[in-house]
Amino acid sequence: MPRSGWAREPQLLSLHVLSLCSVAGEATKESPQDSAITRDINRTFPAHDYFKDTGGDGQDSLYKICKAYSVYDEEIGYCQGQSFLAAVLLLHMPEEQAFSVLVKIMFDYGLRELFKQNFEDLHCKFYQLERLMQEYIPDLYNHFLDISLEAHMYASQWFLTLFTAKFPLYMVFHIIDLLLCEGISVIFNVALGLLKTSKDDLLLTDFEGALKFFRVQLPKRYRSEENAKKLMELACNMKISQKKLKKYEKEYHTMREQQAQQEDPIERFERENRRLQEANMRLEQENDDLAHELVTSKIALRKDLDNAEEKADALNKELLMTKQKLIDAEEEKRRLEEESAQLKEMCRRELDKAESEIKKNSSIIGDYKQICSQLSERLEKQQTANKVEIEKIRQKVDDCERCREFFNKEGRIKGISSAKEVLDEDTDEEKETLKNQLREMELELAQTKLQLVEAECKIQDLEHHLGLALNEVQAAKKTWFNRTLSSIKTATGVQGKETC
Amino acid sequence: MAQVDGAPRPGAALGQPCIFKLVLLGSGSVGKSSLALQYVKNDFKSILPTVGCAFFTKVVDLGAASLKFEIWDTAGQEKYHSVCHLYFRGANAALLVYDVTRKDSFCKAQQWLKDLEEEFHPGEVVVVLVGNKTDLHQERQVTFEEGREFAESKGLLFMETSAKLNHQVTEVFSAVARELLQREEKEEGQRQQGDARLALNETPPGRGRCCAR
Repeated sequence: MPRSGWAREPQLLSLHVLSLCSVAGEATKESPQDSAITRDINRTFPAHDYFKDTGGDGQDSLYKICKAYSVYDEEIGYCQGQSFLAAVLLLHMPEEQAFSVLVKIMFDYGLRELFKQNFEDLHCKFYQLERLMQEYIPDLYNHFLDISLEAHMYASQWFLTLFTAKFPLYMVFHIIDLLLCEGISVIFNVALGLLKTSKDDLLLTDFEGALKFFRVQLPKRYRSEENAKKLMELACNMKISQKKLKKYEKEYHTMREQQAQQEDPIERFERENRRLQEANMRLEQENDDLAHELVTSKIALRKDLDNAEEKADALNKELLMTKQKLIDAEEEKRRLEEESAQLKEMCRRELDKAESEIKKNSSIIGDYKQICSQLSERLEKQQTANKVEIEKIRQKVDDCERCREFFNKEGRIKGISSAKEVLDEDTDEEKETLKNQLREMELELAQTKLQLVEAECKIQDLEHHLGLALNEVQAAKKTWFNRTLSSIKTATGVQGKETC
Repeated sequence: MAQVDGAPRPGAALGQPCIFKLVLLGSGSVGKSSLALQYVKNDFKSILPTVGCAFFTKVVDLGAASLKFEIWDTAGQEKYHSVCHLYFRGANAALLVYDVTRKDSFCKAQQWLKDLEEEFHPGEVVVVLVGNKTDLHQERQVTFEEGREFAESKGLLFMETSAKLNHQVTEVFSAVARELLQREEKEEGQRQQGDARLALNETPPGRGRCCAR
């Protein structure tokens, strides 16, 4: 079987690839002819293995293509019979490609023209076919005229389905090949071929018999591949010039115009009136629908508006609140800054005070230390002087025999004599004064030591205070700063959001 | 447009049955073609969607009289509506078929009636409302009463059928045939009363199709 027609098709894929990224994408949209498509899918090549199962791959793809087309071409939509052409294409290629080829045949090959304007173009094609018959098969043309058989009675299905519905598939494939190569006008070649090969049979029939022949015997005849081949050869060899077709088309239109003019004006007006009434009814219905839609959408819009206003109010309120909060926060921040400045000042003062105190105390401590060392020096000197004196005295006592009697070896007075008493009185007095002096000095030393300790304590205390104060300053710096900073941040943050 | 003139051609005097033109109208896949196939060939099978039209004939024998039906089976899809008008011009009878499991098809049948009312004078055509697919009673959306009430309100004959089970199919067509013959006789009577000279066989027998566009 020649495949030249299919082979030419890849280029058209790119033409539609943009609009048809996915057949499924089109197919998911709502299609008003959904149920019609579903019902026809079951009746399309039900005997073919690929399409026989309900819900099988074949029927699934077929459904997708038909539905996608009905969404893609809203003006024409799904047409009964289209499923056959789609099925034929599906037997050759994946569904996306089949869809693209279907679109190509409908639009670029002009099949969709047949469905437009009450099938006006289809009737033109019937006229062309009859005129061609008159030329190529005049005896059959005359016979059909005699039995009042018109082309629309037998050729509607041929043209609208491109011969795909009734004939064996190998013949159908051949016809579609030819169509893709040569264009839509091959339908005349095939139709004339069919009529020519059946001429002898058809000439014997009456009206009923002819229609029955077209319905039953004709498709049966081409179950033989031999017959199909002969038919296709005949169809291919038939030369039908485009010029002739154009001429017939013109004739048809002139005839239609004349008909319209010749028609009883009353009848024409009545028909026109009926048509207008129909249109009017349709438009009224549409108007009603639109009015209904308008009202519902108005209500919906009002509701939306109310909601939006409510929301705006709430947001405004919130914004005001947030602004107030921001002002408060700024005030608080200012206050805190002041406070922190004061505190810093206070700390500094305290620090200075503490430092001067420390300085004072350390000088006092220095003085005390000096005094103490002087005193202890003096004491030492005195003690050594005293020792020397005592040694001297002892020496003197030892030297004096009289004196020796009064004193024991330890220097104690053994007995009392006037001399002795005088001597004793002298030494006692001296001793006493020395002792007193010593005691006083010791007392003074103790006091100085005490003062030293106290001073050290105080220093320590002050140092501690200083440390605390420093810490406090540090902490105050940190916490105030942080808190202020964060409060400002949140305030500005909230405001930022609100203004958004 | 082609006009198929289906005026009654009473040819009884020549021994030929009268020919009546009958159109099957209704939504897609309500069973128009199946009814025709069952009636004409006593067969029921999966039928291709009708594109354009299909034509059948059947001779009905009603004992005393017989007639021949020319049945034009039309495409159901809305799109082919205008094409159907080609076939119901000059019809003597119309079967408005709907599917009892589909409410929308019932509404569509009512629309078809409006079309017929526009095209024909009252009483010019015998109209039968036919609710098909009674075998699918579990999925029924249109009750017998609904159908009957509508038919009565419009003066139509009414029947429910199952083309699948061959239930009431022949009866529908027979009812149409009886009604047509009755009307014929009535008209005949009136005509004879009005003009006694008008003889039955003066009407030219045979096919009188006028196919001028």
